[in-house]
Amino acid sequence: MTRLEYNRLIDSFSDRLFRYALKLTREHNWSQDLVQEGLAKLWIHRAKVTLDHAPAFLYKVVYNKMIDDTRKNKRTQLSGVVPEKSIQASAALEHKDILEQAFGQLDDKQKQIIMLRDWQGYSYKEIGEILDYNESLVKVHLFRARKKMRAIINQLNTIQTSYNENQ
Amino acid sequence: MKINKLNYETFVIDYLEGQLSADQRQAFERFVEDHPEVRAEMDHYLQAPIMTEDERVVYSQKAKSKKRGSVLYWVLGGVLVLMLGTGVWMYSSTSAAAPEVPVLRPMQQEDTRVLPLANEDKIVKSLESEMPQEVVQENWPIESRKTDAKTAGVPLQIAATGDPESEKKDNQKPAAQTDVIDQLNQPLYASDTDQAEAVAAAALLVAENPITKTLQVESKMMSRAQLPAIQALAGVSTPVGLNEPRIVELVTTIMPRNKTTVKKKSGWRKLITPQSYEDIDLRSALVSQTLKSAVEDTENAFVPEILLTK
Repeated sequence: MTRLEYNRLIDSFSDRLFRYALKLTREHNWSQDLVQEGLAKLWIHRAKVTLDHAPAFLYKVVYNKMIDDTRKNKRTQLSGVVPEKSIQASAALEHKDILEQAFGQLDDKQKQIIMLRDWQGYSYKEIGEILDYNESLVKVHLFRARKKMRAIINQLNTIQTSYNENQ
Repeated sequence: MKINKLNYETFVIDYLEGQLSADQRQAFERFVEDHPEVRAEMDHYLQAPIMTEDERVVYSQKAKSKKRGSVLYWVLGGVLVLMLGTGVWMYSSTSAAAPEVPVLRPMQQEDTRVLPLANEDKIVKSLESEMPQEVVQENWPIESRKTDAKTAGVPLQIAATGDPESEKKDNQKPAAQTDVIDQLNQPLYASDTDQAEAVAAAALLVAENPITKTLQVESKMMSRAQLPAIQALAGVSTPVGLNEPRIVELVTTIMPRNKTTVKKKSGWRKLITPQSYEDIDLRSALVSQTLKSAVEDTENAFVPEILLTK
């Protein structure tokens, strides 16, 4: 990958990578650090990483870096685990907020799989390469993630309905 | 592979996307019939929303993350620019200090035809002082000149020395014109009568009325010694030049080409020799019938007493 290609990739892909990190961490500064870390590693390994594989490389680096940071307690916690009571507390939700709440209830693997599948359009095989999963495991995680999201959305809708009735 | 409660999730997506073989599909459908809750899970999966990106969220550190050219390239570029700048400065400084290279121009022949009128009197006097004292007067008396002139058939108005009538006429002429006549009547070379002839021819050419009085060209060709005389005789304010087309045409048409030798040993010779028309010998014009005819047409014109030919 040349310097020009690298800079063009930043223009075209860094926003999505940042949103990916932000979805995982829910922290702006942490997400920026993760993206910078990923881009720095891509530059280091630019001789081995082609332009086509650069996005997958960045997703993987960002995710691994997030895991490392979490393990080292540099960050307090992953924001993915949203307490159940928070769902109850924010009863007046829009549809988009409900989706975000449901997405936040997923674990990191499930989030990644959904983002990689829905945002990037990766195949199960490509997602498996990024997450070091086999294709069948990706499908299982994806099935569970969507099933879970739907369940949470149904739950939130129920809460929303009862909230509106109480109002 | 038998589909059971532990592995059915592996087949769900493939079943929904039609990726299972016929046997697997039948086996999966039998499993779903036995487990209605799996059908509900599948419905949840199908009803799950597709996540979309919030494109308002952007990465704000793009500029910092981009890579610019290597420092080495920047250093090399800077050095190159510095070298170029130094070179330009040195070139400009040396160019400013270097002496100006003279521009070679083709040599121009000195325009000797230009005659400053202001200095002509001095030039004539200095040249006259250099003239030899030998005269033809002793060897060629005035009476002989008159006879020769009549023999030549050239009607001249003679202002001969010693002729009372002529002297009277001379006294009536302007002083400048008298001086010219005296100059033209100066003793000529005894040994080189061609020069005298040339002087006379030049005087005749300029004194010839139809030509000289209509000429207003500047004199660049006429000899220095003859110029004041020509001016006075022609009665024109502007000196007449031999390069004037009509004069040149006249002289060249009557000029025998075999008499174009120009002697350079004598300063007087140089004075009366056209400088840019060296092949024009006024001596030839002296004996020309064409010239005679021109003079005859202007008998009333003033013609100094000179010997036209021997």
